[in-house]
Amino acid sequence: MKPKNNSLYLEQFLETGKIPVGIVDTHTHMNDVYGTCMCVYEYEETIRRAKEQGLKGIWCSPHSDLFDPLSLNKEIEEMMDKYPDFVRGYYGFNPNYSESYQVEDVLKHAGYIGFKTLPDYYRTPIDDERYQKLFALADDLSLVLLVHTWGYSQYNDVDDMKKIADRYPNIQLIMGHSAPNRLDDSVALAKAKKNVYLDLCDIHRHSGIVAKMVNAVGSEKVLFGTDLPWYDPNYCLGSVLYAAITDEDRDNIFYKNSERITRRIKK
Amino acid sequence: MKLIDMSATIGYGTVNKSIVNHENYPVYEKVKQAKNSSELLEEMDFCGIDEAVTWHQAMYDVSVNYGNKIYLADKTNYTGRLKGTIGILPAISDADFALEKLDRTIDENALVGVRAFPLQNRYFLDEVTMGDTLNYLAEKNLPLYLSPRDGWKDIFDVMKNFPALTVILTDYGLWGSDRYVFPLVKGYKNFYIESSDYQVFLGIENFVNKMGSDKMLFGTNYPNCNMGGPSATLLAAKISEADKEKIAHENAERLFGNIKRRADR
Repeated sequence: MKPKNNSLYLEQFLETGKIPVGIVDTHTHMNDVYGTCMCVYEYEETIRRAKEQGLKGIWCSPHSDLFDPLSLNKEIEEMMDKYPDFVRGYYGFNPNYSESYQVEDVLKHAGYIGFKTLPDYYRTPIDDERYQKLFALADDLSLVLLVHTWGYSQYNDVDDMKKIADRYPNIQLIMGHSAPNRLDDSVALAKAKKNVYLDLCDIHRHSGIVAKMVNAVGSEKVLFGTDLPWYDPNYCLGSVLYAAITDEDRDNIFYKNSERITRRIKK
Repeated sequence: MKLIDMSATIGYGTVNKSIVNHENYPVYEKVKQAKNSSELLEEMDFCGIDEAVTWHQAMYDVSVNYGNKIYLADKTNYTGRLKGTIGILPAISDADFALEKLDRTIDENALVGVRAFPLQNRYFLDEVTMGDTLNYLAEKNLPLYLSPRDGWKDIFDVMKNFPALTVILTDYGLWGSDRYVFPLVKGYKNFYIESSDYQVFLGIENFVNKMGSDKMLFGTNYPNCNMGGPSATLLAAKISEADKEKIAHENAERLFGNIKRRADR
């Protein structure tokens, strides 16, 4: 049956399997990782198939760069070299090996848009001194900082993100996953702080979440994210297409917000 | 394309809402729920879903007996575009689940499945505790909904001991679980998965290529998942239209048709 949702984008999707605009996925990884079972994960094949699905760009930090302290962002730089028009990079930073990183390297490669870190996985709270040089640099240049967040975590809860936003107001802070368990507080923070963004990654799947974010904060603060290759972009696309929001909101989520963020970077 | 959602929830959760992020890892988040069948149908209309198999959240959050009672008392929960399922308990301890009575309840209300929450209600889905009931379900071809929320090992054990049982895997979280799912689908002819959280990148295409399209059923597990995500993932999957039709509704219709009713005996 035809949905009562009157989105023209949804109508076009149901007719052709595609929407008329390209999507920028601001939360992706690439390649294999423990725990989950993925069928396509090597970056070349993943990028090829993601383009077929209508992605026009990805912001990425591969698993190897996040979990192998010896990788030191080799993989993302290889990807950015190979796909300069499609891949923008997060410089992955593990504070347990802070001495190994030259965070200024983020300036050397044109493809970097900022940093990614996973305090929960690194068992290192966000106010640890080892993060601060990176945060200061990101603040100076209005870089993007994607932090894994989870409600009631002792390392990357909503309150921790508020500390970053208070101390470093120019960082364009993306709350990875929007702190599940405390989404309402994430929404309040994104509303209060002009440089704090909500991330749809994972959390979009639940009933009513996309409309809740958009109605509470405005679609200008909501970003499309999938953890690709963990999850299919079509699933997140469906969460957005079938939500009770407007096609103008969808434009913001699909590509306009990421374009605005990129323009603000002073690299 | 006709869509039959094989698992949608009516009612409000005690905690709005305990969601399996991946097995043994719940997330508690406030989601949009359907208070009653009208609200569920409204959401289905908005998202273009034709029919749904439902249950009531109170079967899990309050008790199987209470949930079944309020669910069955309102026929709109399981008639028209909606079809019904109830929770089950061991007949040895709970008289309402004696086979004769259970069978009558199922057929008089044209129910299309039952659900078991063994850990929540402190029993085992084994020969000693549930042998008669599980053999009855297998004989009747009545689907049993199970979630690995209680552990994957229990599901493997049930299938090992009752290989003819029709089981629909639901509420399994979003991590890719094919290392569990594929052996069950391949090993047992009546093992199915509903697609609500089957969102691994290109997963449906991979499932169909490796396992065929007969063992997957479209589902949303609403409101744990929204209805749009699973719909778009299936509709855009690079599989044949014939495979898509099977997953969208034909497999479900075949399962409904296989159920042996009292009138048929």
